[in-house]
Amino acid sequence: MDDELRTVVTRVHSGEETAFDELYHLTVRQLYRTLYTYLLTREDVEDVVQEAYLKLYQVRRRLDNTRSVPVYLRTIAINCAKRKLRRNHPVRAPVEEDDVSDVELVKGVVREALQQISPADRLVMGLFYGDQASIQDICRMTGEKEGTVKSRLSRARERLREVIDHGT
Amino acid sequence: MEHDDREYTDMLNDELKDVEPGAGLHGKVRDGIARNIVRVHRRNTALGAVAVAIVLTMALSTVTPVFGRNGTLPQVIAAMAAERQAEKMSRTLGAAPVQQTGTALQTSVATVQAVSDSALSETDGILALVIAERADKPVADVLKMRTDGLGWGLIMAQLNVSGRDIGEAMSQAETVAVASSPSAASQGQGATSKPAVSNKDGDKVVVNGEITGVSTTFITVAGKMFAIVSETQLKYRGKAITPPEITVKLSAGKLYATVQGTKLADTSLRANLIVVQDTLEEAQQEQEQEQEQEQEQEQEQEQANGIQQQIRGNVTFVSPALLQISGFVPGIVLNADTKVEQVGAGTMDMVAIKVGQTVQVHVRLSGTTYTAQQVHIEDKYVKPSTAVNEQPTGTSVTTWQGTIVSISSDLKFIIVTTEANPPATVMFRILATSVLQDAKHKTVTFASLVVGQKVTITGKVLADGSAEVVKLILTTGTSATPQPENPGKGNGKH
Repeated sequence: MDDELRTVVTRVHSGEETAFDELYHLTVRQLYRTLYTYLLTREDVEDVVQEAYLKLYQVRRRLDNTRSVPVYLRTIAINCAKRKLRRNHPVRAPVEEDDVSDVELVKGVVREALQQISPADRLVMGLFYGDQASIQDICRMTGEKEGTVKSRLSRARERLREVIDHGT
Repeated sequence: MEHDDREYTDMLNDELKDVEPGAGLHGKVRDGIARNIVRVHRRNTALGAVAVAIVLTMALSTVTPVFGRNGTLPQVIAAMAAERQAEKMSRTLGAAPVQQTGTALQTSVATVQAVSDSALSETDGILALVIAERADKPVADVLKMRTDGLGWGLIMAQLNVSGRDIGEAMSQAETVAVASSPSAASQGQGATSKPAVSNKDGDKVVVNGEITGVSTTFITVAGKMFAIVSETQLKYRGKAITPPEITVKLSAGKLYATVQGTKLADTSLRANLIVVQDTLEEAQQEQEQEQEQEQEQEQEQEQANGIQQQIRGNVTFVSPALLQISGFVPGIVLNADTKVEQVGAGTMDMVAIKVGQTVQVHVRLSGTTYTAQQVHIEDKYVKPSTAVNEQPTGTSVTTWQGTIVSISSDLKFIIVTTEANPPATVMFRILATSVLQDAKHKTVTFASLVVGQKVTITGKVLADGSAEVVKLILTTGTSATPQPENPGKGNGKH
């Protein structure tokens, strides 16, 4: 995967248009899940995904470090998502039980727990457990200090456990 | 913890396993990129068109006045630079920048006045003066072009003045104006520019400083109010100026003046000469020149009045008009201006001078006449216990022969050194009844008498030692001893 990504990025850097489509397919799934953990709606995630790939396209000729491209892409996307959340402020209200259209893929108690965690804590949790990103990469992507990231992670984990154990 | 992390990871992945990007998302991303490419292309095209238009306009504007009456683009740029510099100069100079610029450029008062009277702003006024000066054209021409609506760049081009010329001229003018400004002068002196009464000489007063008030009847300079009378001369740059004109100038900024005046009996001040200047430094220079002129005049006056010297000795003869001191042959004329002082008494009358007293006399030699300016009697004053002895009035007639050594046409007397042994100096008063004749006994006038002529005089000795001329005969080369008609009376010495 890493070798393939590296090759694709090199081709994108050289100006090959089809290589950008390949880069999209190699990275979009992970990015989509990360953004979904943060935003919790497909509509918002798709908007942010489009914006993030457009920005990546505009700087494609400057992509020379293949290893940083996924991190760079998620950093762009997270910033776009933050702006979107700010525009949509207040944060979207928790999804009702009978509103299955947006939450059909988030099930049971985990879905309940994620909805009760703040977006910023949720993002850190998604990056750490969903994307297997390191604390350092999370710091780079979110622009937050290590202590803040760890604190968010701890708080999200505690809240998730409370919901799972006690159902509250 | 390790167990928890794995548990959370599994839990999250399990919950998100069905979260996948839709099939249409890639198409949306591609559409977004395509739209962006088109947008960027259009933007770049538009920017390119604007850039080409600017380049073409600039190229065209170098030869065509695309800016209408403002001229070509280089002319507009030059005008903007000149206006910016003029504005900076205006701010630097502060009050009355047009006048200060005019002074620095040594332009005439009329020129500066013309600019001041125009509707131009101070910045434009400065620019008009500088352009006119550089183009060597009347400022009226520049003002007319400006009034016709031409931009400064076009005016400069039509008068063959470059922006660099204007920049240099303005820098020079600013340097000169700043250096001669009152604030600069005060900075150099490390004090405020507070003017002061600079010179007083008796009733004469010379003041220089800022004009703070003016009307047709008075002017206030350095806080002192001078009356303006019909005899008062008002000058500005060597030409006459009226109080209303000063008022107009004063409304445009500070003005300074040097006033020569007179302190009247009621302590009020009357202006004799008012010299108006634009700067305090000019006023100070004017005052210095005035002082130098006064010194020169005093020196000339001294030279005209003759040489001063002091004489000390015993009084051998004294009359209200003549004093003779031992060791000093010429007689010394006493007049109303002669001051007499005596030890122990201060200022005294002329009658205090007595024969035998030791005196110190300040005399001035004018021609051949010694005139006493001050007689200091060194003998201590003793209050007389009895009435002053009146000297007998001589009624007898005496004849003297001698040489005229001094003539006072004003007081109608002559001083003659007699040929007696020792010689004496006698003052003879010429009366209306005195007979003046030449050697052939023809009548001559008093005005025809000259110093050095030998004379034979018959007259009456007066109480003060002088003599009234009964008859004076001009002789030729004779130098005989006096022949008294009355043998019992004098030999000419009294």
